[in-house]
Amino acid sequence: MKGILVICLAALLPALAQWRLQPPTAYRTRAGQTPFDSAASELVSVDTVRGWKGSVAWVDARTRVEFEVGHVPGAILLNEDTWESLLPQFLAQWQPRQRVVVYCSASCESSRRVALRLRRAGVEEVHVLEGGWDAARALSP
Amino acid sequence: MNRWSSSTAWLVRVVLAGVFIWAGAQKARHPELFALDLEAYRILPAAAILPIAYYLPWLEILSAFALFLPSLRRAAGWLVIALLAIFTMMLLIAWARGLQINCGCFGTAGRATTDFVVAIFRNILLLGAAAWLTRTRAPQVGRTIRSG
Repeated sequence: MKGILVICLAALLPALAQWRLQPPTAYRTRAGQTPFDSAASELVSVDTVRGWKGSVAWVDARTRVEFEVGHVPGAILLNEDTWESLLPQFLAQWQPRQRVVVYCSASCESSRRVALRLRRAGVEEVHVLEGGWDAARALSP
Repeated sequence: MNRWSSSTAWLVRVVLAGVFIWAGAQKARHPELFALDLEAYRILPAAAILPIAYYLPWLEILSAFALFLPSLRRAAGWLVIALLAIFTMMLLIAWARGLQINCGCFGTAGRATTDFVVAIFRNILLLGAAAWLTRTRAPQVGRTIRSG
């Protein structure tokens, strides 16, 4: 029992140090986060996006193959597998203060991960499209 | 414990510690992404997710290293068993709910949707290895005392 306590307490030290050195800012700055359902708070519907004034930067977080089959007009391919190579391309096209909407397949989690990575890269307002590509399909010609 | 069992115990310990160090390190690299993986299970309250995402990877890493310290070996074994049992329970709940998520088992290293059957089977194997390791340590100490 004493040994378990020692290991548990020892693990607190690097965890607290990391919290201090690498605070969870990007996770916490998701728009309109609520204490009960933080995952739902960053979601936006297609109708909400349509109602926005100003241009929106669309990010397609699916695979290249899926992207090439079809995507939202003007969307930029940016997924976790090719993050390092595609991020500069995205940042070159993105205008500061431009809203970003990320989508992936309907039941995927990668759009949320890409959205978080974008916030960490300094992009201020990043949303995740509710319904993913199935919903975004309505916007493609 | 004979020489064969001793070598096997050493090998099992190395494999188990290796898996835990690898898994913990991957999660510790990006705790916020690991927090998203935890969120996807829809089990934990929102307030608990970030503290767990920062703490759990280090607990995995330190438990793995403690497997090699004679004074903490047994405690580390029980911790590894407890962690694996919790992970397996979470996987079973997610599977039962029909969730299509990344289990977050290896942090950002596994990005595709998890095959729950494979993940649960892997955890059961590791759980068996950890239980065997914890059980086989007592005779080793006894033999040392008797032979000394």
